[in-house]
Amino acid sequence: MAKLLILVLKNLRRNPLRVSLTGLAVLVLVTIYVLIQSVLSFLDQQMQEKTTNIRLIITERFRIPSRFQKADFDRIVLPGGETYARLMQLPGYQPEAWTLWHFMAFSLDPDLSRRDPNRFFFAIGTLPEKMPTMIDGLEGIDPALCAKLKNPGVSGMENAGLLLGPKRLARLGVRVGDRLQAFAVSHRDRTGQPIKMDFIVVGVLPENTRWDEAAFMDYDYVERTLTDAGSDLAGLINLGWLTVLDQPTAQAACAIIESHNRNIKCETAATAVNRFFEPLKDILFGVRYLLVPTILVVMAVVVSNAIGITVRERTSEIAVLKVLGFTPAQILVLILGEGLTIGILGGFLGVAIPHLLVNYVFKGIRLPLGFFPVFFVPLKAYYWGPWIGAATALAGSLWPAINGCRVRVAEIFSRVS
Amino acid sequence: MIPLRYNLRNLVVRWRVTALTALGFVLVLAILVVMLAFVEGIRELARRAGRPDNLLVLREGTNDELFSDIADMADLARVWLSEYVATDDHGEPMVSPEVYAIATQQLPPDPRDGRPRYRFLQLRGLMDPERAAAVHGLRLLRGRWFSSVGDECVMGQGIASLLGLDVGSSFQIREDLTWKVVGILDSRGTPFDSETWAKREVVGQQFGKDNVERGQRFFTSILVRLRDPALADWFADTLKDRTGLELSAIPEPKYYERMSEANTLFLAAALFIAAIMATGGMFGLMNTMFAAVSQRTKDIAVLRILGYQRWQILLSFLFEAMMLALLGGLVGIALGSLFHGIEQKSFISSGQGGGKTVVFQITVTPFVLKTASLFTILMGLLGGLVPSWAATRLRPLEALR
Repeated sequence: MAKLLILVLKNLRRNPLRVSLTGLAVLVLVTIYVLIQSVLSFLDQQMQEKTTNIRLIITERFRIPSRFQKADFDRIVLPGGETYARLMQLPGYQPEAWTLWHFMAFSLDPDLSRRDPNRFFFAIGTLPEKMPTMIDGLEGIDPALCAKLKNPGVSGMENAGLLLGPKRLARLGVRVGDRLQAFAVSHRDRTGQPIKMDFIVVGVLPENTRWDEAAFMDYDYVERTLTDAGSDLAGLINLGWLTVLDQPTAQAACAIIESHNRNIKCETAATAVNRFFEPLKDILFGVRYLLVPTILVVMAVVVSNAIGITVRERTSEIAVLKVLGFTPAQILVLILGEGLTIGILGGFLGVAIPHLLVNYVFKGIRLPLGFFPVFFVPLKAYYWGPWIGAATALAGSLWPAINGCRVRVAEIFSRVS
Repeated sequence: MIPLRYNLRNLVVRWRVTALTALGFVLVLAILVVMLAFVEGIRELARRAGRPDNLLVLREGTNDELFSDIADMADLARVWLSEYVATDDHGEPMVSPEVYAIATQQLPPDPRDGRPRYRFLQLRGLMDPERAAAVHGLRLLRGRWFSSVGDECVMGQGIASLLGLDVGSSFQIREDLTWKVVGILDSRGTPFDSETWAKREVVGQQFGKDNVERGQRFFTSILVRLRDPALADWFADTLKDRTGLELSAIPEPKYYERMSEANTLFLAAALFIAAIMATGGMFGLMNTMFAAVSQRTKDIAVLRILGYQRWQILLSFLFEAMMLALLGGLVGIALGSLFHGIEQKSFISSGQGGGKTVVFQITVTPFVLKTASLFTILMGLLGGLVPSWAATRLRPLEALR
């Protein structure tokens, strides 16, 4: 076997140009496969129901965008309410695992008609102390940084901290420590004027997460400002979040919550994401079942062509190998080995290059789909790439390899003589 | 004279390699055509949407109907009492104040877990459906407009066929509200194909931003037909001053053009994917052409001895590569074009997080054909150039030896 392997490597070295071109073709095609698969696998992961630590989304039942009374959510998560009491009886219910979101859109420009995207930001009012545990993608965030939303360290600016994603920070052209006056595009005061809010930029959200264009602020600050301004949206929240231990608890919790208040609905995050992606189902189907298979077939065709040419050029050589005692199976392995080596190497590089470029140089694939503005190449792609390269190379080399095995010694020698 | 017949015959003689290389081109070009035609379908829909003499009035700062809210107050009437607004045959201003909303419709429970399921429905609440349709430039395909009494609605053709509903059908939009479909809009190829139109009060109160307790009514948009489309910019600029309200107005086609801007991203992604795939296909072509050159060194030497110049050899091999590319490319374009007209669902969005679902057809436009042809030529040229140049570097006597 070792001798066969050495022979395979020696054969590859004989035509470096062809090997390089075929390898490059595999590399670029695996690259595009990896990029597409990175997006698809992330979406699949979001749309797939989890079995433990399940996130539940509480929203207004009938409208988009969802808005409902915070008091209704309080009855679910704070002691004292009947809903809370019934939820507490569920074995997998985690009373501390909840948070809420209130969305606001701001412009740094008082003239809202100038829709300069570099002066605009979208902020989520939430509970700072819950951020490290209740926001997907921010699990590793420093709790002390989140606490600065409440205490930015500037007198007279209590609760006015703002955490910005690194991309948004750069686009707004601000730095940590800067003081901002922002004008709400989405919220008006009692006279119909945009609500003004002052912020201190207290920190930057971690890099390479889907939050790199977002901003977080303290919900208490939002609520206080809206109440003072007489906004219609005071006392309302957009979403409530719960985390429960398992699926049976999730089902039971949602049933309890909905039975106590018919104006709100409760569902798992995966169900909600699935519904939001419903209009994109056709695109995702096309990508999954038309584009991806085509890439794989093109890859197999390119390898098949290259290995086919190699076999045709080496028919005399194969005949000599047969005379020397090589069995058809060994010749098959030799030819397939060439294809496999190219496939595995091209496949590995086809993952390594996009992984490094996308995750560390370009900081993600920017393809805003729903709530997911940016995608990254996952580490598990290092399994896909070489496997896909190997499988397509094997499929592409199979027919030329079988042809190589079928070479008739007498026929070849008579032609040569 | 370039030995073109020699190259063509070579393609025929080496038919297996020719076919396999061309197959790579066929697949790359077919998928490119499908991807571009998909994006073009949405762009075509947006291009055809809206009338240039219609202005869409939204709340200042928003560029999506879903996020706009215009409080219904006396000053608002000035929007359509302007002398610049067109009137219909009865002298009524061609104005349609509307409430656009996305409702979550509750569906029967999932038998597996007994939990309710939901889907989104796009609703438009109208004060006068007939006038609204006239301003939008739409008409009924069958049935009648909903009346001011009773829970009735009219639906776009696309959404009606998707939900399996027709005139006379009823559907429950929420537990306490059932609508009867009384008309189907002739809406194919428009952004209203996936909308359900009903009374403004019902949509505003049940799914919009109306606050019944506080007695507040909101519109999301007001569509205004101008007497003269040339007045659009002027009207938009002065609207705010004349009404004293925080409003902005943009020509209706421009609104949909903006809504389809998200598709530029899809277009860029499609071109990027196609370019990478084309690069893979190009390496395949290079392989084939290098093999062709190395197998025919003696032929090239003979041609050189017969008096053919280096540039003629270069052009002849380049021609061979181009023939291969064109063969695969044309078949690929034809194959991809077979998808023309297939109905698809997607969404258009202003980028603010809203957007709307649209039903459209995959459309192979001249842009698609031109881009695909350009890809074919570029792949052929780039894939064939280096091997052809290598062919010109051969020394005739050495090659013959």
